[in-house]
Amino acid sequence: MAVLGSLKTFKGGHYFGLFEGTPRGKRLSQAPLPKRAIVFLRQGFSAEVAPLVQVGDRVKTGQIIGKNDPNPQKPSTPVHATISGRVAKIEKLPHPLDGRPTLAVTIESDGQDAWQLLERPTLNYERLSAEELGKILYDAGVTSGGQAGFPTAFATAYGTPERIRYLVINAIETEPYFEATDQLLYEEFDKFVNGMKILRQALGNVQVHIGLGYNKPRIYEELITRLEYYDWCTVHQLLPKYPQGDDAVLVRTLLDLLVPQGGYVTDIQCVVQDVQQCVAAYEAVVEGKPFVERVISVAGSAVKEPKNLRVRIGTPISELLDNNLSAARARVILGSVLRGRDQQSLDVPVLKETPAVIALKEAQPELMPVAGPGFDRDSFTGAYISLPWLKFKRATTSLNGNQRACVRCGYCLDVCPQNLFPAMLGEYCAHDLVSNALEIDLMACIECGLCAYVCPSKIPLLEQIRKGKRQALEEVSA
Amino acid sequence: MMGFPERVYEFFERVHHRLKEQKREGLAILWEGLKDAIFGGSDKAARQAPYIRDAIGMQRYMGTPLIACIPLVIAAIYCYGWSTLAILLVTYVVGGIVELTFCAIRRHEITEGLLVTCMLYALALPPTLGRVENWWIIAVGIAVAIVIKEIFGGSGYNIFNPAITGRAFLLLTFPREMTVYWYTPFNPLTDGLGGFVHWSPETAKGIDAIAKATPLGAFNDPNLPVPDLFTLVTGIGRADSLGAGFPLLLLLGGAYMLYTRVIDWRVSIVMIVTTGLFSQFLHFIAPTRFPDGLFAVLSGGLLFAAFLNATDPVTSPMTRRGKWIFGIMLGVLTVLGRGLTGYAEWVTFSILIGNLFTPLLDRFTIPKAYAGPAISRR
Repeated sequence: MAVLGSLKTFKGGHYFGLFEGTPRGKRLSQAPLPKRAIVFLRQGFSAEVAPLVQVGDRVKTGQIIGKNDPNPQKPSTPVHATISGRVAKIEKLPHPLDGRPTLAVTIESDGQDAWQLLERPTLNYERLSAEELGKILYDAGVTSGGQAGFPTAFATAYGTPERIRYLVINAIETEPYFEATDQLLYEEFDKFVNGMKILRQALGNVQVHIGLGYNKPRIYEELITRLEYYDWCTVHQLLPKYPQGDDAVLVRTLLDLLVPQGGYVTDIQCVVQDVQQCVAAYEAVVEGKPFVERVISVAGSAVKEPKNLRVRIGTPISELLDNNLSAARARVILGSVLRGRDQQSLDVPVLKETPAVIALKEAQPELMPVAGPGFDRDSFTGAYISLPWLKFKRATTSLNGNQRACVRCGYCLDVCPQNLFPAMLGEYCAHDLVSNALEIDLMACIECGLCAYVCPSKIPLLEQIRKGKRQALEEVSA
Repeated sequence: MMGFPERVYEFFERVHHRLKEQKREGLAILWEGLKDAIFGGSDKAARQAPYIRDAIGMQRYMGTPLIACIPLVIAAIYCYGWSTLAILLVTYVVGGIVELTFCAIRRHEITEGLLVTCMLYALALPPTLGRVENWWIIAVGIAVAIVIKEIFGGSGYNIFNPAITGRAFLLLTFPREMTVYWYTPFNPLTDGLGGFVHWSPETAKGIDAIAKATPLGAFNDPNLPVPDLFTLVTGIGRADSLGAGFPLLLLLGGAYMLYTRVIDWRVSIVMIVTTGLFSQFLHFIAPTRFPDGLFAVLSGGLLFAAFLNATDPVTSPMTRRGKWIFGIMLGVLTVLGRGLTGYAEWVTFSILIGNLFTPLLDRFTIPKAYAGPAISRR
């Protein structure tokens, strides 16, 4: 194995402090089975699939309840029942991450949790061919556990050595509150390593590059011991700077390859997989379990006891947050605090692509909040004395400032990991000048949200840029 | 159970609501400004992602240069007496009135930039403007500065640094008051409490307190002795503008602002280094016209302007390459202007010229994205 001693990083980005209510170092615990599960038939990157069950049907955990015919133009991933019980409803609900109406199957639990496993699980996965592995991963519905929700089977469908050159393993988590995936890496290290081997095999024995946070020396040592004799693997240590875990940034940092604007990492012959995906791949191939359970952090400043949980996908977040909210007014966010979406109702379920459920304290009026030294504040600037030994930084939904005209401070240019000009992009997009924005590389934006985070004028740059990108895509498809 | 801040907040909201009901829009804007000043935006919640925002807001951002100016103000009061405070007060009162009037009439929010503008404007004035008969000049200058800023749409849209606009206006309109009379400051080695117990050096020492020229003026005038390095660096006995004569304090404030990232070294340090090197180079060619590099950097308002005026975010470029070009341009223009024109204080004009080029510099230095050429999916 090739070991790179030097730390790698990228230009821009921001080191987040530890926000209050972060379940750092908390061991994974099993959440109780939900009484009902709401399973959306569109998961992450995948297209919406057709339901295979009807209201009243009895389903088992792991049974496929929705599936499309494989179609490389419209990649989709089968959807599984995540608890056993009776199908109570099939209806269109707004998708929690984008609000588009999407078919969702509601299953009422029978409390049995009877499983329907995949066929012929085997420990000897090394004997399976890439196609066989790809089929298992597809049937198990393994997708990326991150925001993109990229179906593994879609990547492996390309899975011939001519198409894919590198498998990049994202083992660095830099988003605030995303602790569960780190915990999974510690607790399921064997499954992670074997899952990585399975994914590599499914892609046709490509080169593997692992991006690991340098703050995990134990994992680094173990990886080196375990993978010492393999020449296909390289471990890179990375500085834990947000958004290092983003696909495009990770591939650029590790391999010096640039993702085309508006494209995916597969366009440059790379596949990025995360820890959750590796573990899910192992469980699918060796244990025969479809991807119906994921790790999730229940965190945030308004949460009484932050936890890292193993949760069935489709568990309503009310079951995770009931009796666990400390503030009367809390904002509940599914996924990332930087790029996720806040939820009006607690009836929305945990999704495959949400590594966290976060409840933040709502903004409260304070007298002269900027006058203090700011020991517990997180800032890109040095204007506040953020004491490094104070464990937790304050986290509320407050803008921490009044909205003002852009003063052209240039912080958004300094943090942008893609070297863009966010202030100008936002200005163009807000005024519907999408063609101008495209000229200054609008589609290279990875929507990490840092520009809006650091803006002292509190301009909603991320929202403006997202709107512009949506418009640009509509114009292309029109 | 509502806490004290919530009750105060509710009171503000109620009054604001009443003002709106009575259609007193202008008053409502001013009241809203007061509320924003007190609550600092802590009451405003993020409606879209990201849901957590950086602790830096415009108040703290604009407060940082003010913090950096505190040592200058104290030093200026010591050196030039309490008339310094009068200059600051006149500036703030007149500037505030003009700005608030604009805000109330044009219904736009009151911005924090005004506080910095007034501070920088006042600190760049000659101390002799503290004489009561000269106060109206201060008022005219700041009024012109704010009006020109507001003509372009207010803070964030102005193309010229307002503090520099006001100063340039005064330099051209009142050249005598702005460049001829200076005070010899109180000397901490001999004068004890100095300006802390006097109105101005003039009231304490009479005609003796009047100085002929600033160090830069002395260099341009062959009849006057050029002050030594000790005077230049420490500011002891150095006749200069209120805040410009203390290089050590300016370096301290500049370091603080650089540390907090409120200013960028690509403008400030680049401008200072360029001035030093370029002046040193020309000094070899024409030693009577161009001072050596160290003198060029330490004299006049160069350090003051490099840290506080040139780095004004609104009127300097945003891109990294743009900032480099801007800094170099300002340094070169300053040296050339000082050496080749009659005006000693050419920093002012070089910043105005640089401001003009800012949109152009941004336009032509847009960074290249870390991404491959666009591909089309269909």
